Amino acid sequence: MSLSQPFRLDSGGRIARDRPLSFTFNGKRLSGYHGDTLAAALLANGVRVVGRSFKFHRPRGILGAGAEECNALVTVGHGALAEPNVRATLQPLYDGLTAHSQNCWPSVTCDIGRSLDYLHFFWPAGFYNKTFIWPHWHWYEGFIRRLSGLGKLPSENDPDQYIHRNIHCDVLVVGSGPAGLAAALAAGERARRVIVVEQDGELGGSLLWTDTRVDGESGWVWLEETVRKLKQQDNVTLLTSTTASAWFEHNMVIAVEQVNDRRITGEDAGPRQRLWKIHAREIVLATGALEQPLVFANNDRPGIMLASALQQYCGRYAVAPGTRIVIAANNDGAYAVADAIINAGIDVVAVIDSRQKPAHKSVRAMHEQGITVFQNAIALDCSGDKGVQSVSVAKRGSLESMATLQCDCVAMAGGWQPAVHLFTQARGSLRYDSNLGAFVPDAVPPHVHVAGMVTGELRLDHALEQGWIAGYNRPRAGSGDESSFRRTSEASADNRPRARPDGDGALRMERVWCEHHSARQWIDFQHDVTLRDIDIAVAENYTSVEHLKRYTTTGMAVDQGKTANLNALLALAERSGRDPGELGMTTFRPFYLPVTLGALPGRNLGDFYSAVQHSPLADCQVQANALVDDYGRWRRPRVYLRNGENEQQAIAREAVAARTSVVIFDGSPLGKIEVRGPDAAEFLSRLYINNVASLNVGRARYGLMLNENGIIIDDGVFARLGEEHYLVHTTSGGAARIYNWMEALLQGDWPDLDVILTPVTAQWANIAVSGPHARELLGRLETGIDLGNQALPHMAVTCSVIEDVPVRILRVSFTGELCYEINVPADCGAALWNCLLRLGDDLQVAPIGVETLMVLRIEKGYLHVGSDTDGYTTPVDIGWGHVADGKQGEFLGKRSLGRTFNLGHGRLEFVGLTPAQQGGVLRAGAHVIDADYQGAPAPTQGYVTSACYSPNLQRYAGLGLVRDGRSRLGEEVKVYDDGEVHAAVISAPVAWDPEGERLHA
Amino acid sequence: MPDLKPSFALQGTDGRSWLFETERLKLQAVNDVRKLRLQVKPHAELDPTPLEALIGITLPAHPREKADEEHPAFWLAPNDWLLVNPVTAIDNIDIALKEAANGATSCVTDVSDAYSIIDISGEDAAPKLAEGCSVDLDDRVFPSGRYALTRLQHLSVIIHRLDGAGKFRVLVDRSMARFLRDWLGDDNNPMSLLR
Repeated sequence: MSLSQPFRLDSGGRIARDRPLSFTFNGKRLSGYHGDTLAAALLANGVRVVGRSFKFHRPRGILGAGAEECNALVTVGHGALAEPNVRATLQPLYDGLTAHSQNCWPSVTCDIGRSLDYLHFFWPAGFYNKTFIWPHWHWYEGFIRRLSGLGKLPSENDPDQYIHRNIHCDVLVVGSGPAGLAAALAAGERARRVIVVEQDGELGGSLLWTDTRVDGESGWVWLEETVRKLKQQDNVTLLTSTTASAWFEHNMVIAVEQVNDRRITGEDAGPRQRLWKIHAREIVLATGALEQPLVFANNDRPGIMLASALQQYCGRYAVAPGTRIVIAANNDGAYAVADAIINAGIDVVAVIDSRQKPAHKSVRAMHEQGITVFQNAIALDCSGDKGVQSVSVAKRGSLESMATLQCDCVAMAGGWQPAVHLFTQARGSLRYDSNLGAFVPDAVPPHVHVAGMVTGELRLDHALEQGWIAGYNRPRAGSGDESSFRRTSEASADNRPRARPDGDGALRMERVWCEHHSARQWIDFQHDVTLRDIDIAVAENYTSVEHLKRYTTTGMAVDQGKTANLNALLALAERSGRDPGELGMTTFRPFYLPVTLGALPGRNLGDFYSAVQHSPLADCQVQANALVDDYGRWRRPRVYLRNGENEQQAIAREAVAARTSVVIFDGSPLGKIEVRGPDAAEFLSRLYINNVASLNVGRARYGLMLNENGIIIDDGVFARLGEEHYLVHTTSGGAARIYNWMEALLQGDWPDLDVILTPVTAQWANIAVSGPHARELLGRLETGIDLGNQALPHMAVTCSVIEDVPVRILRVSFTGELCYEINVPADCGAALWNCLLRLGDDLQVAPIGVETLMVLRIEKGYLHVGSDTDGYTTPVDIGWGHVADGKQGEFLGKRSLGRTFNLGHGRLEFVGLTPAQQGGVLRAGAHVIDADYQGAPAPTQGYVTSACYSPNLQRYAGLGLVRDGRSRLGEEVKVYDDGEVHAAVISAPVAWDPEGERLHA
Repeated sequence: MPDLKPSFALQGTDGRSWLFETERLKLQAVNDVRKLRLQVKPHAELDPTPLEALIGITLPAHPREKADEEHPAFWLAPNDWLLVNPVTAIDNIDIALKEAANGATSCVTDVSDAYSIIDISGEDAAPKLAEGCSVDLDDRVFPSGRYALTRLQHLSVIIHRLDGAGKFRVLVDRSMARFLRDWLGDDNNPMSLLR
């Protein structure tokens, strides 16, 4: 063994000894080799205690060698690149790696939190729910929150990038062990698109560390040849360092690939991770199995690990996790591990086999090598706080130690649980296999295939055959394709990889508990759940596995019970006298392994978080120094800043200009839907509460749309362009929603109506020219269109084509002033905008933003759906009851308007609010309370829905929904706003030009 | 009426069509292309022969069919098509559509300005689209001429494959064009297409 790495074997393994690496663990400089995982390198350096347990802060070493690891969770890196809760078993070693233990203070070898362990009698399962309820949970919350959690998230922004990528294939093979590789070979032969996903950085699975022979070659030689073949095939994509973490409908598998680790490369050489959305016709799950620990007293000591992990460290990494090893087992698998360890030159002290009659051949082989085999015996207890020092052995059923074995490592061969996580997510069902002592796939869902150890199959030759058949996508019985399958599989049978039969594949496992032991026996290492906790749960009648999980917390947290669920379930079954199959497994949900938060959104962050819509006039707005903001999806100008103005000053300037001169406003986001057909009028009549049929061609009308409950969902102007042709304007945010709603009604409810809908929001640029000089400015365009009151009165529309450019002018107003909305094709919008600014220079024409428009409409008392309405507002509430009443015929929501709830007193009604005193303030969101109410909290009488300072009225103006508001006009109320109270008077909504003379100017 | 010179959603500061080019990816806006939406009352029986003779292409009866490269017609919904760069004037098409509709309600709408077009080509074209689109764009499944109405980075788009070498045309709502442009040309992440 090497001096610098005292537990490194002199030969063997797949590490690159010519590429030494240096790393630090808890500040101590250590060394390893390229090809090591962090866990392998730590073991090679003799590091035993790697972390602390979640609840009792017990010292913990390395338990496994892969995804099942629940003890060795560390923080890798520092600063913004720090990543907490990394499994040391999955972290490839790189030069300069820095890792730290978690959940310990001041150090992992001396942790103050361990005091909780000494008081463990006070903290059994369920203590949390029972203890912290008096006098109130919040008394304890802060303290408990500080204690809980493992690693700490970095506070800096993540500098890395993550991307998503869709990919399609005919066959997706998950796992690249013997079965997975056989499946990939078979699938690749059929010239399909094949993707192989492997969590490890290297293909091969168990071939990487077991001594096997395939096709007459050693496992490593066959693996090399197979990988070479697959790489040569254009139709096969091999994704290593990629974890298939979740299955979703339509056979979509989410897999996360580690692409670039800048902690290794030191540069931004690409995304850190790529989240693959793999759409597969067929999936072959060759996900293997997870070895399970044995349950005995103090089985969580550092130095106690899974037997398969020990074999992997020896075979793949050339690391001896100990110098004197005891193997505790309940199945035949232990003897193969013992052989491997002995061949690596490591001293095996004894094998403790809990079965009465282990395979005679195996026992004899051990005896021949001078190794004691304790039959019908169990590991009773073990000593050693920071590392196991000895194991006591007892006969089954006895608590009396018959031998104490000095050792520094214990390998637990507790049987296998197939990794059925993806299988169950794909709606596959499980059954309990009593021979295996675990849950295996039962009913396999369509287009999913299983092969290898995930099926419970332990024989290599069978696994290869299963993989091969799965790769060919064996058709289901009765599907009619059996004969073609036979032909293709037989034709290719010569290529099928084969191995010699190795035994009968039976584990002959017997699970044995060490009952009545006073010391704790760990079931869930990460959450510190012991056998006693299961007893308590059963005593309290938590007899369902799902309840057991939640009561004891077993199987929760980072590892999701990969090494805990089965033992907990079997213990529960035994204690409740039921068959494990009857109890069933807990549900496996995505993700199989934790996924970095950054990988989930990928690039859908910042500017790409949500799609932004731009007006055709966006560039003009930027040129005019607009302060832009997002209104729904639209990026629009709040206001246009001039000469060092602040926003309020700019709003005031623009609002005054709109009342005294002329302004232009970009109304392009306004929703526009063309409605055509003989039944267009009837269709719209059913949607609007207004009378549609009476609208003449060339005229427009403001209307309200309700849903089936009579609630206002949208408003806007609709215009009749022709006998069977209408143009519907919706709110800017409602364009897509209302169009989809209209289509749904036409297709689903009223297919008999002869109507065609065409959304044209993006086709037209819309510029509102508003103000006393609007007609004069528009006239300078020399369109030849008569803009006078006679030809184009308020609420009229005219369409024309001028020099090949179609133009639609609507005389409608949301400002309360004389206003024309000019619509031209979107590509012409910018030119028209610039032209208006140029022609109106002497009129001091000014562009106005959305915030100014809001001021103008509040002054005028115009309703803004969404601001001045809520999910209960009906037309009656806003004073439009007479319109609904006067409507002949049916419309959506009509019947609901007659409901008692909608007619009763105490409704919130749309009114104006005026400050009672000079200088009084109104703010949107403030609550209206009775004027004579003293104290707080006061019952609300409604609230201010819109408010602004009106430069034209020289005071604040507000709109609100006030209880029975219209019958309380003139009443003084208080307005409560975040601690401030102002007096206000309930008034009519219209504060500017109540007679509407300016509209008709 | 003053001359209203068109300006497009995707154009460079010099007034030309927007262009973004790297070694492996080329993004090019295609501006000033006429587009018409043809609609007939759904389920109405059509006799499209005279119309197809006029426009020189066959109107697809189903989604995800093939479309002509120069003068494509995309199926949007039953009896609902988008014609891009049609060879004939809108009035002629309107007359022919009415004839094809056999008296059923029909209409032709000029939507030239409602859609923007971006051509995407280069080695990374398909992988780039695959970042935000779940349609299988492999040329064996999605050969030249094939189009799909789908979602790209959450936007409703039409993706039309123009040739087997990996050139695609994307039609997107004009108001979303700049968002798509920024996303496609996001050179913050030039290595995102590795592989």
